[in-house]
Formats: sequence, structure tokens, C-alpha cells
Amino acid sequence: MTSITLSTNSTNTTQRGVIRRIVSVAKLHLVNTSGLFGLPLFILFIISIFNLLVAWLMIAIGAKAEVNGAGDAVWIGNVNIFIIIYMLVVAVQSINLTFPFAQGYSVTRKDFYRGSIAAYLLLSLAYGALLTVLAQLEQFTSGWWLRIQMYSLNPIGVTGWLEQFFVFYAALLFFFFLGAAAAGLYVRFRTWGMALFFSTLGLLLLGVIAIPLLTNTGAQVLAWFAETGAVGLAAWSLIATLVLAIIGSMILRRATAA
Amino acid sequence: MTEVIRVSELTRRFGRQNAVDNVSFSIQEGAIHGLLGRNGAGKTTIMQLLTAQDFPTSGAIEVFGQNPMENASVLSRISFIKESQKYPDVFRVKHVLKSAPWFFENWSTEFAEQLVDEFQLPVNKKIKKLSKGKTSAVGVIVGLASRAPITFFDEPYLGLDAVARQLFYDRLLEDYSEHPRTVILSTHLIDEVSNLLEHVILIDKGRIILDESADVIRGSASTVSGSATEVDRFASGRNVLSRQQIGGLATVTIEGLSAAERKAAALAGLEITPVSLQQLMIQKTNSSERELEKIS
Repeated sequence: MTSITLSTNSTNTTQRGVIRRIVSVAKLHLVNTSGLFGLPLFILFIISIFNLLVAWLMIAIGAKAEVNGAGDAVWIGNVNIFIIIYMLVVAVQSINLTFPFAQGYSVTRKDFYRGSIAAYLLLSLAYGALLTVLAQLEQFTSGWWLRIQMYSLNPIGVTGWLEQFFVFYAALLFFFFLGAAAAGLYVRFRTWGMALFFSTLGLLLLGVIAIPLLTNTGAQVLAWFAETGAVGLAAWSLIATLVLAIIGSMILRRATAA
Repeated sequence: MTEVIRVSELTRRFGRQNAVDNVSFSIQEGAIHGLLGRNGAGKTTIMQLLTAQDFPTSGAIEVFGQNPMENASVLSRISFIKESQKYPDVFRVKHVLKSAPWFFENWSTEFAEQLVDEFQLPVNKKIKKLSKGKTSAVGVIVGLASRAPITFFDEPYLGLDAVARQLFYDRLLEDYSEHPRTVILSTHLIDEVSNLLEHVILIDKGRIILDESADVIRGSASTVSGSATEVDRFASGRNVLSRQQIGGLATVTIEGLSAAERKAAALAGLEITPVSLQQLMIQKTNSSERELEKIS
């Protein structure tokens, strides 16, 4: 009886230890709030203000009739993309620089990767929620009272807040794990890793274009994309994200922080 | 004393070069060990292997009786900020001070704050903007304040001025006597640390050429100086490690002098001093290189 109690206790202690270590790594990724939130939110704010000013100016100088005449609102690029690309850079740095640093703190590669996943999930959640709120506000105010679209996913047919959140969340996750896997290749294989990454990327893109052309299925592929829609594509991207996450963990398993 | 690290037939090869070449040694608990050697001798590589930051090509490593590779229970008791430690771009000194306690259970915030003050570190400054010396100080502070059961210092003084180096030696010794732990210090500024060291491992070209207690090493050779004729007369037939002459005055380093021999030298009007650790290291390294040349 005693031995059973002891072994349960030690399992609990080990589990608690693992969770504590994962939380510590996640906190290490998130410790610099100004780099993760302050700076990107400030830039987002500036871009948005700039876009609003341009829209206001266009209306003021006489493009008003044209704008109002058109049935749709004016789509001024997706500002969301800025946040998504920024998070890709965050992911690259989290592996390229935080990994060697965590090694200095004697963190195992496995714990580091688990903690990084936790940080990516949390950041995607936070920014996914923020972008959804902005998109909803934009819809609610009919394009910030100027009929412009910066955040909303209306042009790709996603209007409900839950669908919007899902698309943002999936996109953020995909870019986090893409950045992590690419940076992992660099940390482990340096220049050769980058050569491998970009040639694989090139081949994949070429394949995506060549296969429908060669098999004469271009129209079907386009029809499939239209049919699947943005939400469907976001769901499919989760599989790609999972594959990237597995590749990332395999790469980091034997990486050295030289 | 218990053994905390045991290394057997460890090799790390980079391409065709053996950075660490079939070395075996052990490290006892609770002493300050010096890992000495020239630049590129393999000191950092050995420390990276012991802390599981790098993978051995062959051989075995045991830390606290276990393989340290991906072993959180072992690694959580180790602190190793290496000389070329990378920090995240956006990190300021305060971020290191804030995050270190999450990873080192013995971390002393009080001691860390005292060290920040003494090393005059600007806590709000980005680490990448710090001078070489101040960056070294960040590593020194993490190493000292973590109070990890095994603490590695990799050339911790690089870029530090003489005052800061002395501060590091003083704080290391003070804190070590209050909180005993195993310290492994790699350095090539041997004379500065020779008084701190209790055990010395000398490494050259990836091989260990000396693994001995510092006291034994200090007693293993003496420097004899005086008039060249007297010095040479005394030295003849003895194992002379090195000889220097300036004008009529000569200095030789002789291995293993007995008390009687020392007395005889003193009677002959020669001055006898214990050899400096640094001198001995230089001579050992040179003679090992000569031997290697002979073999090849």
C-alpha cells in the first residue's frame, strides 16, 4: 500500500515538474511584453490611422460620389496580415535566439518545444481575439463610418465572429509553426538548412502550379477552393500546421545552440 | 567526497577534427575546478557536452549518476552561461533577472540585485546594446545567483576590467563558502584564478594532459634562480622543465624538489620559489606539443 502511495506521489511530482517547466518556458517567451504586444499594437494603430486618413482624404477630395456610388465598401488591404507576418518573425526569433538562451538556463529541448507550443497557442488566441474584435467593430460601424475595410474578412465571405476568429486563429498558428520549423532548420543545419527550406518551398509552390496544369484539372482545383471557402481552407490548414509542428519537433530534437 | 561528473572515453568530432579526443575524467562534489587550456583547446566543447548542449560523437557522460542528455532532473541542477551566450534580441537585463528564478530553484534575488549593483549593470538596457564586459557580467550574475549544485563559468571575465574581475573572484569565493557547490571554471587567465582553484584539469588539443589537485601541482615544481653557473650546477642531472637566462642570471623550473634539495639550493645562494600555475601550464602545454610533434 505504502509503495503504491509513494509511486503515485512521485508520478504527480514528475507531472507537476513537467507542467512547471513548460509554463516556465512559455513565460520566458512572453516575458518581453513590449516586443510582443507594445510594438506590434502601436504599429497596427499607426497603420490603421494612416488608412483612415487616406480614406477620409479620398472622400474629401471628391472621390466621395464614386465611393458611395459603388455597392461595396472600399477594401484597403488586410491590415491583419501585418500582425500575422509579425508573429512569423516572433516565431523565427523564438527558436533562433530564445532556444540558445533557454539552453543556457539548462532547459531540455523537449521542454523547450512544449513551452514554445504553449506560447504560440496563447499568442494566437490573444491576437485572433483582437483581430476578431476589430473586424466586428468594423462591420458594426460600417467601415469606421467611412465605408473602408481593413480587418473584416467580408471580401472572402467570412462574416460571423466565430468563423472570423477561426480563420484568424488558424492563420496565426500556421505562421507560428512555419516560422518555428524554418528557424529550427537554420539553428540545426545553418546555411544548408536554409537552402533545404527554400528549395522545398520552391518545389512545393511549383508543384501546386504545375500539377493542375499538367493534369488539366485547373478548373476543378479552382472550383474546389471556391467550394471549400475560407473557413474550410482554414480547417485544412490545421493539418499543414500539425505537420509543421511535428517536423519542427523532429528538427529541434538534435539541435545544438552553438 | 562524492563524484558528481564522470566522463569516459569522450570524443566530439567536427568534420575531421577531434575537438575533444577520447578524454576520461571525473569531478568531485564541492570544489572549485579549473578547466585550463589555450584558446581552442576544447574547454567550451567539453562544458557544452557535460551540460547536454552538444551531442558527443562517442563516449559516455554521467552527471549525478545519470546521462544528462534531455534529462530535466539533472539539467535543472546545472547552470552554464557560456562565453558566447546568445540572448533574445528584445531582452533587457531586467528580463534575465525576472526569468532566471523560473529555472533555478536556488536562485537568490537578493544576491542577484547586489551583484547588479556592484557590477553597475543598467537593468533597463537591451543586452545586445551592452559592452562586452557588461554582457559577461550578465552571465556571471546568472551563474552566481543561480546557486546551482554544478555551476559552470566559461571564460567569465572576458571584457571585464580588473576591478570587475576581482569582484567576481571575491563574490565567487564568499558565496561558495556560504553555499558550497561544485564550480567548474574555464579560463586562460591562470595566474588570476590560481588561488581559487582546488583542482586543475589541463586540456590541450582536445586531450587532457594534467588532472591533479592544485596543491600537488604547486608542489610539483620550483623555480630556482641565481647566477647562471650556480643555477646550472644545481640543475644538472635534475628534470628541468624550462630555462631562461638574462645576462649572468638564470632561472630554471625544476620538477619535484625534496626538502633536502631545496635546502642545498638555498645554501648555494640560490633563490627558490614555488612555480606559478601559469608557468607550469605553459611548460606542460609546450612539452605536450613537442611530444605530439615527435609522435607525428
